[in-house]
Amino acid sequence: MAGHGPSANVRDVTTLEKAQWALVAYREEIQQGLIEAQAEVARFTNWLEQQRPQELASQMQRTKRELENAKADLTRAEMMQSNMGTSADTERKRVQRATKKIDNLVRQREALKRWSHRLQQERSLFTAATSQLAFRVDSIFPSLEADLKNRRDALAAYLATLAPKSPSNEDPST
Amino acid sequence: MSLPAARTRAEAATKELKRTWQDLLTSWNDEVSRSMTKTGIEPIDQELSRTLEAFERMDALIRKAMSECQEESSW
Repeated sequence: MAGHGPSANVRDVTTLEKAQWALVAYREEIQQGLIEAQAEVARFTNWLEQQRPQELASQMQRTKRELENAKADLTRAEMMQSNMGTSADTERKRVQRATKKIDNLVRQREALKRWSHRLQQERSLFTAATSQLAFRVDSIFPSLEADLKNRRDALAAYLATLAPKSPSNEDPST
Repeated sequence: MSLPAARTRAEAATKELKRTWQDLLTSWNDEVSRSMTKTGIEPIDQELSRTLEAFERMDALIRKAMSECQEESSW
């Protein structure tokens, strides 16, 4: 191949084109996959650090109100129970349910803090683990693609210089 | 796209590249092809493996965190 040393033995422009496009297709596919994976992590981070804490805060506020109401109802029911002998079981169960719900929300709030801290570390590990493949498709492949394109263009140009000579190589008797 | 879907996509792309590259090498055997294979294609397996492990680890982490931080799925 002209300009690329005697060791290159590719005679087919199509082979170089196929190689170039194989790299292009791979690069695009992997880049898209990495972008979408990072978007997924970002979406989860937003949920963990913004969306879910807000949801929890409003759930906590609502459940505290439920508990206060349930406690007030229980106090009234217990007074009626002692005066009129009615049952306060329903109101007691409502208080228990609201208390349990608050305990659960507190556990979730603590889990959020724990996971938020861990996520920072995990995101760093994620970025480090994907960085080599990202570097390959962002930096190495474009360079290889350009190299293949240059070689293909050079080969095509070389072959073009051979083409006009073909008639002179024909058998003059024909 | 979910992380498992990204994993499937990356695996399929790599399989396709290796198949195409192998086909090309049957008619392309010179210093350039050997150099590109060695520096461009061969390291992919290890890098892909690390990437897929990271996808898997992050996916497991997300699932576990979500189950601990909410009663019902709201994400």
